[in-house]
Amino acid sequence: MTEAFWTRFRDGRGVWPAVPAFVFLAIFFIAPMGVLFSFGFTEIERGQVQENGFTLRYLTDTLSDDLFWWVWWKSFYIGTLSTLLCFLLAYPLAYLYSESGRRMRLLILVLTISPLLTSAIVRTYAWLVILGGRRGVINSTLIELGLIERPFRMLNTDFAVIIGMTQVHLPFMVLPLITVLAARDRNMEAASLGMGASRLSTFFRIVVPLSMPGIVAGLTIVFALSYTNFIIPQLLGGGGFTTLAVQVYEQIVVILDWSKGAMLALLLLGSCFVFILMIGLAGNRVMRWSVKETVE
Amino acid sequence: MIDAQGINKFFGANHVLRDCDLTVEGGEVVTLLGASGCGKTTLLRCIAGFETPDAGTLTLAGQDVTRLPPNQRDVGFVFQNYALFPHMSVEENVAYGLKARKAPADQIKREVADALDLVSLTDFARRFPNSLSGGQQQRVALARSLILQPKVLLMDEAFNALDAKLRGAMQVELRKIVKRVGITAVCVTHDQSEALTISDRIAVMAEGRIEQFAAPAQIYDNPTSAFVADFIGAANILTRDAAARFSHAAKTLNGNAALVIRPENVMLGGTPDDGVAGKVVFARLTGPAMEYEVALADGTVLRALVDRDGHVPLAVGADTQVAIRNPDACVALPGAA
Repeated sequence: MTEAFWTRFRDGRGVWPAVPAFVFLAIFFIAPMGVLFSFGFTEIERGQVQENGFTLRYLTDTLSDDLFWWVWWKSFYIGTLSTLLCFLLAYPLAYLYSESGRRMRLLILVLTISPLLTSAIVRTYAWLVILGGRRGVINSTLIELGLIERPFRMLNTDFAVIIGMTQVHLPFMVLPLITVLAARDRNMEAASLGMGASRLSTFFRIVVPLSMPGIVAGLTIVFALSYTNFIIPQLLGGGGFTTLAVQVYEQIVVILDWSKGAMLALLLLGSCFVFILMIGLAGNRVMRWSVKETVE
Repeated sequence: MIDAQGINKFFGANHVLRDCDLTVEGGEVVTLLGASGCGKTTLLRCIAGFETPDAGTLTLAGQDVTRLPPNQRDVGFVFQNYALFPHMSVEENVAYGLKARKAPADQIKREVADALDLVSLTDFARRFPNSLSGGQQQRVALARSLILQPKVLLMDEAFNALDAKLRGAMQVELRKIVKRVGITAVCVTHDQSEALTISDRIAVMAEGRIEQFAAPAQIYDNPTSAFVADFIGAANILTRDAAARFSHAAKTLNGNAALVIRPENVMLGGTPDDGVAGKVVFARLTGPAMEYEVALADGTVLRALVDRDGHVPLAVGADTQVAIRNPDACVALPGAA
C-alpha cells in the first residue's frame, strides 16, 4: 500500500488536488502544533527559550504527578460517560428516523441539526439558567410546587458537565447513525425474521452489528469532542472543576507556564488518539465476531 | 402444497395482481416468468408473507396462511441479492436459523456440515460472504434456507447477480440440488431460458395476470396467447393475411386471427412452388445455427433459425424462398396479434 502511494506520488496522480489543503494545514496547523509541543521539551524563562534548553523534566514531572492522573481520570470518565449517554440517546432516535415516513424524518433532522445553528457557548449558558441555584428553572419550579424546600445542587457538579456535554454533542452522534441506519439493506432483517429469529434478536444480531461503521464514527467524534472540551467543564463545572483541557488553558493563559501547558496538551492529544484507535479496533472486532459463539 | 386462489393486490391505485390462481404440487418446481412490473415478485412475496394480498386466499400444505407473518409460514426465501449476513462466516450464516430456533449445538454442527456438503461449500465454511464468488454466495443462501427444511423454497431472481456463463451452470446445479432434496420450489425470473431449465411448470405473467400455467414444453409448443408465444422463444406471429400466403399453414389458421411460427420452423431456400419469396435483411451466427430476418413482399419480417449442418449461409440482401417446415407445429391464436 505504501509503495503504491509513493508510486502515485512520483507520478503525481491523485496527489495534486490535495496540495492546497495540505499546504494550508501544514502552515497553520501542523507547524504551530509542532512548535507548541516542542515547548513541552524546552526550558523557557520569561518568554525566552533557553539555549541547550532541551529537557524531559516536564514529561517526567507530569507523569509522576498524582494530580495529573487524577485530572486525567476526570477527563476520561466525563468524556466516556457523556459519550455513552449520547450513544444510548442517539441510537433509538436514529433507528426511529430510519423506520419513519418522510415528515417524521424531516422533524427529527430539523430537531437534531437546529442546535448546531447556535453556538455551543450560548447553549452552555442556557444550561446555567436551567440548572442554576435557587433561581434556576428546575429548582424554582420544584420549590414553587412545594416539592422541595431547598434547591438541589446541580450546577458545579459532574452531573451538570455530563448533561451539558451530552446535549451539545448529541447531533454528532445522531447524524452518522442516521446515515448508516437509513441506508441499511432491509432484506437482511427480512431474511433473519424469515429464518425464525425474533424482532429483538434480529435487532441486536443483525441491525446493530451492521450499523457498526456509524457507531464507530459517532463514538469517535463525540469522545474526541467531549474528552478535549474545556468550555463546558469551565462553565458548568465551576471554579474548582478541572479536566486536562481546562488545565492546558490555565497553564498557558493564566499561569503562563508554556512548557507545562504544552506537555499537558501533548498528553491530551496523544491519549485522545490512542482512545480513538481503540474504539476503531474494538469496532472492527465486533464487526467480525459479533456472533462468534457458533459451531466451533 | 401451495394453493393460491383469486389473489389480488393493490399498491395505492396500482392493481398489481389480478385474480391470480396458482396451484403447486408437492416436490414441484414452478417458475413465475414475466417482464419487470408484471407482478411476479409481488406474487412471490405474497406467498412468502412479506406482502398480504388484498383479496384471495393462500394455503400452504392445507393451512390457510393468508394473513400469517413470514416467520410462521415455514417457507425458505432466497433473496435477489442473497441477503447473506456480511458479518458472519458461511457456517454462521447457515447455522443462523437453527440457532434462532434454539437447536442443540451438536445438531447444529451436524446439520450445517450436511448442508454445506449438499451445496459443495465445505471448504468455505470459515470464509466471509464478501470473499465468495456470486455462485458460491447463492449456494450459501440456498443452504441457509434448506437447512430449516421448509415446506416451500421461494427464490426471487436468484440468478440475476451472476454473469451469463455461471448463470447457466448454476441453473442446472440448482435444479439438481432442489430435485435431490425433493422440496417444493417457486422461483421468479424474467429470463425464459432460466425458466425452461429449472421448472417443472411455468406460469407466464403479464400485467398482474397469469397468462398461462403449464409445463415448459406445453408453453413452448402450445402458447395460448401472442404474449406467451412472443415471451418464450421469440416467435413469429403472423396476422391472418400474412399467414394466408403459406398454403399449408393457412389450414391450421382455420378462421383464427393470428398464427405463431417458431423461428426453427421456418425453412429458407426451397423451390418457388412451396414457398413465398423474401429477402434476407439480417443474418447472424448463434453458434449451432444461423439466425436470419427475412422480409416478405408485403413487409412482414420473419425470423428463421437454420441449422448450419449442410447449410450454405445466405448474405444480407440475398433473395430466398420462405416455407414452413412443419405446418402442424404452428399454433393458431384467436385474439388479434
